[in-house]
Amino acid sequence: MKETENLYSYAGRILRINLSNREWTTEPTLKYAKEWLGASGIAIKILYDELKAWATPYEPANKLILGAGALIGTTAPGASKSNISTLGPLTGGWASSCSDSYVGGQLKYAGYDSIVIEGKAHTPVYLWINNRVVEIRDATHLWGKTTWETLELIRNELGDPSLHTLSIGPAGENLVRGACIIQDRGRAFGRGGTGAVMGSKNLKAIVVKGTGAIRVAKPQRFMETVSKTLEMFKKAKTIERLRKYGTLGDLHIKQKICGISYKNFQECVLPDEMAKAIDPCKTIDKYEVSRQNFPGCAIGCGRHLHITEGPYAGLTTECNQMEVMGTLQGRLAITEPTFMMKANALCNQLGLDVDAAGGSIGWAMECYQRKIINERDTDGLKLKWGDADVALELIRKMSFREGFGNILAEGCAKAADMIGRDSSYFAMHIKGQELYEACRGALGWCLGTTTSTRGPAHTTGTVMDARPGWDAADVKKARMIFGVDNPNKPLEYEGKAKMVAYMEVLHRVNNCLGICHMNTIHWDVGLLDLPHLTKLYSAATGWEISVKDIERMAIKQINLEKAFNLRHTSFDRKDDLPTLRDMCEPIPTGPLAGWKMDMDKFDKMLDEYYDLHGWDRKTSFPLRKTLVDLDLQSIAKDLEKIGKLR
Amino acid sequence: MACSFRHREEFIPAISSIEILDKKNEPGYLVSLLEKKRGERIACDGCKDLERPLCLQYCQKDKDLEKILKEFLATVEVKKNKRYK
Repeated sequence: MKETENLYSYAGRILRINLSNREWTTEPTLKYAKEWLGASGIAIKILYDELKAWATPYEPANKLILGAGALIGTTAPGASKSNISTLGPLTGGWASSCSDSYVGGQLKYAGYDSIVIEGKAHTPVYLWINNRVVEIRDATHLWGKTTWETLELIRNELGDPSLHTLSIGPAGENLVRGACIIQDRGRAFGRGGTGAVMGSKNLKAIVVKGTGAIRVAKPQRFMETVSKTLEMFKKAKTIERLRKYGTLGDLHIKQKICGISYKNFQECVLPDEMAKAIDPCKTIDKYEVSRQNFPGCAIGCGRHLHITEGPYAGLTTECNQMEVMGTLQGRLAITEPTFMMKANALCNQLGLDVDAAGGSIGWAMECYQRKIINERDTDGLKLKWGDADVALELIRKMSFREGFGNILAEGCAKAADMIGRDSSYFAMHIKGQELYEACRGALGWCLGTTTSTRGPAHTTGTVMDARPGWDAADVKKARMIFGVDNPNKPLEYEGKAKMVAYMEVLHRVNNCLGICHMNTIHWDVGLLDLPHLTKLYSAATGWEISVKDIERMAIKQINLEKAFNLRHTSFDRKDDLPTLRDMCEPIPTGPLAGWKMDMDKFDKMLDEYYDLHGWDRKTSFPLRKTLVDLDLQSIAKDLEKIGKLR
Repeated sequence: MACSFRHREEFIPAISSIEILDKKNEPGYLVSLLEKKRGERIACDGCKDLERPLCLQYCQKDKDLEKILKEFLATVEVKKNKRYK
């Protein structure tokens, strides 16, 4: 198979680097692309095929795969996301994360669609990929440095201030389970613990520079399709606010739908006075110094802030999005408006996922509130809600596995097991991974979160069903997209499984093509949907595929992710349920006060979800027919051997 | 990307006539347009045969870029006229 001949939109090669023996090889992307689309699709295929069932996250046998989506490097709207996938240390199964990326584009221009990192370096190293030249360089001097320091040191060392890095901080080096990988200073491949796997390989950073070309098969048709789709962004109502404030502009919506954690989800809205005090739009208006936009993005929702007042005066950082507001500021009840920027910057410097930090610290603060733990457990710290200094100190201690931080570094689920004392009820996690998503009061959002194959997440199947402000035209459009009558009724159980199944496909397609979800109907029903993505992909690659074809590829991927989890974990139906708190407690305050999940109805919704996937209702395991119909016979055989096929 | 497509019908930012550089010690970007060929980079011709330059068609900050492009093309024109005089 020739590597790049007549191959369009893809770079054509997959680079394999073995850190143990310092050798590297390439293989043609074509070996995978027609069946697994790109990035995360190719990654799960490689991980499933090549990892033995007994492999564990931190051993050299594990592989870390960086993939740049099939449309990255082109002008396709939103083509700015890269993916990192591995066997993860938080859930013990599929860990996969996407982030905005200069590095992804550089990788494609260097001639590679993915890098598969294998083995373990004997001493700390970093990878320097300069077009077709691959170097494994000493990183002893970088070990212990923050991601921000690493970026500058590498740029100086290689003599190019325009270089972009993916690096880990102390959290990854110290195998903190929720460690992430940071691009440059502020873009995180969060959740899943990919940074810890990188640390386990003694790999400090990846630097890529590419000056080659990405060709598309039908240039004029492709550019016309891009132009047409860009028109959609001019018409979409939500874009202006998104450009101005990012997702932080939606705090008022989160408040209306009870969609934000307060004191570790004891409540699902912020107190009015707190919401007013921390109004992120005001903070942005006050401190924004420049905007940030990644190549290919049709929106540009990022920005840089320079804080000039208050306890964090002098901080210059990329502005966070809603996730940090929910998972750290609200969850820990901190009222200093710039805390979220400071905490986000610190997590990015140390390479710690914000949800891992918020989940563990939120659990600890609630345990302290309830006198389950005290200062004897916490190295003398008083873990009071709202104490910003203590929160920042715990982020640091977690990253360095210092004292009580060593327990938090295991993630809230394992930390609760270690502490015991009935503290596990307050560990807000699913499948072992910390929860950011408020699950009560938005059932499509909830179902997508609980069933996500990578642990709780809102970018692998959730649907934004609780969206006040939809007008009649939006509702009509959403009905057509999802094929349900009630897409705007977040408290109705009916139809949500169908909506989640649709979004699971869209999210996979986005991740494989490298499209940011915010440029799609994930965010606004007026933006890109599967038909648009299919047209862009067909024009770019010259492979004329239909929406049905691309859906089938995504469904195959979901089944392979599921099989990967079944092989490596003991997950079954119980692991697709919400947390005990979300199942047992009504929403205590706010516009939906008193609303409680009806578990009989939730169970029916979950049954419907399994039926739609061709999975067994009782166990969640795939049915033989499902896998055979998807040409996954060998996977069926594997699952049959371990008793997980129905 | 759009610029390189205009020149070669391929996406090769490395040959683009427009460079977007991170400001080294502060947030934000520097935008520079090439008057003359530099290495692999191709000089900006303002996409004169197009109704609207391709970079403007695909840029999020098209108004800002349009201003930069107009100033750039005006400067090039002045230099050209001086040469002819």
